[in-house]
Amino acid sequence: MIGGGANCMIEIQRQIVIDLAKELHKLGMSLPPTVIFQFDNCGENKNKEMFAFMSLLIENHTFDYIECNFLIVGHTHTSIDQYFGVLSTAIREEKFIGSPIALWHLLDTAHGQENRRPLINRPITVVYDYKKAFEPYLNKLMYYQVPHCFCFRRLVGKAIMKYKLFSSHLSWLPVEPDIIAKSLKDIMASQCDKVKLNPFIIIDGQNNLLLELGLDPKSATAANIISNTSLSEQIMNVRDVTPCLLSIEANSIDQQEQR
Amino acid sequence: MVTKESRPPKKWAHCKKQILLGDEADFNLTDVKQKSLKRCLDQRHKKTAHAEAYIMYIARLYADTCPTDGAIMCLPYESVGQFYNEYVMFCKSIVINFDCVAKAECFRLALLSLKGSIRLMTCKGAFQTCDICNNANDMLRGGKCRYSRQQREIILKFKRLHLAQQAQERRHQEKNRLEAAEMTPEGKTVKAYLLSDGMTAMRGDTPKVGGGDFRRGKQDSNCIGNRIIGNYSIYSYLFVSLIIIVAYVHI
Repeated sequence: MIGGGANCMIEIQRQIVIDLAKELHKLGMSLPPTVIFQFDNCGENKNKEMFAFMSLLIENHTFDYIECNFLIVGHTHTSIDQYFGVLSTAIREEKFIGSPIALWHLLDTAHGQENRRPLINRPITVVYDYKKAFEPYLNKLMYYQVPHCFCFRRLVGKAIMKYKLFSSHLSWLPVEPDIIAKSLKDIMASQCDKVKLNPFIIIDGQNNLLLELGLDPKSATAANIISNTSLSEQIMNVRDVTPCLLSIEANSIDQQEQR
Repeated sequence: MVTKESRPPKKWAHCKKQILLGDEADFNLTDVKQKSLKRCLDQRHKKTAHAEAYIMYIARLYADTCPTDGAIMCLPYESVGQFYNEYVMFCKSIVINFDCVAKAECFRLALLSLKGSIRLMTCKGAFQTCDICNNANDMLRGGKCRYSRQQREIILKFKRLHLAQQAQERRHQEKNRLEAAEMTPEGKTVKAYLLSDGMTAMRGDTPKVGGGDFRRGKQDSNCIGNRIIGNYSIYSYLFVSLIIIVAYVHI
């Protein structure tokens, strides 16, 4: 029996990559250079060890580019959850599941349609201690729980990770310095140790809220505010509610970190 | 008194039928029950119509398509009550004629009438709820603090922006999924898409060896739990697979 958490998820990702490579090989194909991992925002998926594993996949040339996307907490319903619904119903309906083999068989035949049954279904009995293995190599990075997109690519033989708060953002952060990196030292010089957090980060900045309210931040100059009473009233309202909105944001980030 | 001379010509009557009944005008009306002008009008109460219009408006703003049926839109609300509360707050924040605001039951029926196309996510039991939505709902409900109409509008728009953001993330996910399924003219694919998710641990009946002879709490029992992790892989239209890996874990 094994423990859950990051170790378990990393092992599963490793097994899946191996399984995928084997299945593609049967069809005369190979693994593509780019892969996109999609996860919910759970702590067992979004952790430094998982990022280290992604970096390892890049450094050992399994993939050239990896993108890791996370859905927003509380809104993580995905298509696979529908399949889980079928599985949990099948498990619930059984009065007694006597052994792991019985469970395996049940999961294999849970879906009524044969073409929707799993391609591979197997138990994991051994999990490596990735946490311990990766520990000496982990970089310090604060607030990595906040961004929703991460990318990994190779630079001078080393994997580098960048982040985006939301997929709609155009550029990946941190911005690379305008030099051609020739050594590990050059890469490490531009390393960042924490994700930049700005107020109203969950809605992509306060300007977004102001625009939604019909207030153009550029036109809200002192002269305009004084001359226009409705504008000044609206701005006063925004000012009054801002602490509450910021507390909602801080609470949600805090709860995310605790998870 | 209508005489034969004062009757409208047949073509005019046909045109009238066409306008009122649309395509049904082509049917022989002697076979089917004739629809009167009054019956063609919207018979619903204005409150139901208002509630329906609001639901449709929200669905256009940030609904997700259902994973299993593309024609169904899922709204990110846990219950009809929560959705209704937001509707009431919306009506308060924009001053409208309060005769039009639907009551809870009317709102529920309006939502039920759209069941074929719009449904609620209703996933509180299995999924963690969104703290931002919950806190914003609490604020809108107004416990200790009373917010003014304008302030409510700001909170509502804040929540909407957050929901719009999550809808954007889902669209990005769909885009990635479609891109992974595409192939180059040479028959090669450039991307693979791996969607991993774990199912809530289910407690089986298999006794756990060395589990102890007492229960400390609800979570601690002498049975083996299992964690089922499914992985949905897309690598071109030819290769879409589902891999299920079961890990037997201590809970």
